[in-house]
Amino acid sequence: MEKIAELQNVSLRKHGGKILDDISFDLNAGGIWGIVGPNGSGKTTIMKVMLGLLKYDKGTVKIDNQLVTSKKHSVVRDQVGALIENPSLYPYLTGLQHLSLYSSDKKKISTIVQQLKMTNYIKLKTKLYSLGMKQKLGIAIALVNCPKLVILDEPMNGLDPKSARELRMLIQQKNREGTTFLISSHVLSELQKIITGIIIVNDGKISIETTPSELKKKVNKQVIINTNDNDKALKTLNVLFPDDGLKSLIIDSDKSEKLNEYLQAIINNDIQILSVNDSQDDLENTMLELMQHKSDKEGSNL
Amino acid sequence: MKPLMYQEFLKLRFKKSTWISLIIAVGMMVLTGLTTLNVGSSDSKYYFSSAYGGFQWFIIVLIAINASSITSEFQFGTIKHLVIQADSRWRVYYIKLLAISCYNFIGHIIIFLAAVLIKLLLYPGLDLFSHYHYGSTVIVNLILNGALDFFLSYLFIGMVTLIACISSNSAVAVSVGIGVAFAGEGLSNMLLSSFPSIIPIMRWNPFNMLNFQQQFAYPEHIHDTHLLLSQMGIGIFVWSCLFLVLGQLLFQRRKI
Repeated sequence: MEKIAELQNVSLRKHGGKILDDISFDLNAGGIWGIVGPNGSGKTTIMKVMLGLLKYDKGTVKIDNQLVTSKKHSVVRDQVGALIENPSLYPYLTGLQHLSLYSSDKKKISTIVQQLKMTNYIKLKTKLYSLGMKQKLGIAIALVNCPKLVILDEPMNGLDPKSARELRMLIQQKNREGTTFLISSHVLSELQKIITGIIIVNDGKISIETTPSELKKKVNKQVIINTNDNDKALKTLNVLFPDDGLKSLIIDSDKSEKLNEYLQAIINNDIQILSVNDSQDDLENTMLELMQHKSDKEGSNL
Repeated sequence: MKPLMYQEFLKLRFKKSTWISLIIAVGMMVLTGLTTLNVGSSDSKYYFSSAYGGFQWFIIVLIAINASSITSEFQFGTIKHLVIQADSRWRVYYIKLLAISCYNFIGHIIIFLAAVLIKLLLYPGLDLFSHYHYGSTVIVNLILNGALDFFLSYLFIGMVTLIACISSNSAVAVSVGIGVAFAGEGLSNMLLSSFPSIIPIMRWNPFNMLNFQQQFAYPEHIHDTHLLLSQMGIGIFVWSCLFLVLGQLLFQRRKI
């Protein structure tokens, strides 16, 4: 599969500390990649390095097979659109003037304005914009020249649920047209609805590069049983299955084969089952759990 | 994507303060013209050839526009777009200076035209071709003054750009620039008269170069500056280049 971006052993040191530590990953063209990790983990730094905004000490960064450095990044100008940190706007210019500043194709400007439903305020100065309006304009600037790769840092910030949904749909539409996306977001529930690949960054290192479905398989699956009398249900299970050492009605994956027996036992004791849920049905839990496992493992290795 | 130079012009064009401050400078020239209606012939020649103070007012405008053109990019975060579009930061820096230079040139032309217009409206009796300093006519004196001010303005551009690259706040750069514009000459004269033993070195201080126009109008000023007009010209050129190069180095190292 064609690669739109390649990072090989990229390291960056600042003030004696490692900001990026031997980062390597490839982005296949045509995907929607999510980049997640806690605050300060290095997500924005990776994006800045990919855009040629930051000088890195070691490794190589390539976009569309062309080397990107802080001194040489014409490929970024021609093939990449980006929204990094907050939308960068001049308060004395209107939204339309911003788009004219970055694109000379009037047709493309009107298309993106309509797609992002910005017609009502595009002729107003940006100092009058709300956070959400600014965010939309920042995204419009990133998309207006129809680049091959779009890098969006926290694009859902400040967007209401309706706008967030519209943005998701636009990303998916652009993706179908051939644009590759790399998106960082703290609203992981929003991210998991669209991404086809995920990169987890922790402490300047890549923890995992995989797909969301593969990611779920990597962590312990838990099932939560909810009844009309949870105390009685737990006592019943501990009487019938004393060796299992159940402490709550959250059943770990290693005991999941006994789930049917547990449920049968609860029903036989006239306790009503209200729900049986998968505890890690979202990306957020999976990611947090995985990072916890990783840090526990690292801690025990010390 | 439009060229960076075009973008810089577009920003200057759409920024209201760029033109409002210039209109205010012209307004101050009109005010000066009105308050000096009853002066003698020699003084009216002086006021005309100094563009009714327009060149001094324009320097203040230039300091403000120059400082904000650098600091605002960092303040608004728009520097990221500029750096992505240009292959190197030094290119962004010099394109900005080029745009400011064009604004500087246009501003001087406007001040020149405004001075001629004020003369035509308020001083119909003043002959533009009557003799004044250096055996030249009054109008040539105005042109020479404009050209010298344009040359000297690069010392301010260099100084303000350097401060704007150090500070993230345009107010600091503007304040220091205006402070230097008003008090720089006085400070230099004070230093030179207070420490005569170090005159050979101190006379090359950048503030002393601000006496350039004054010495052009009144050659006897050499007793205060201890430099020939040509030496001051070299000093302005060297200091301007030094400030601009230092500014570039700082601009390249600033965190985005």
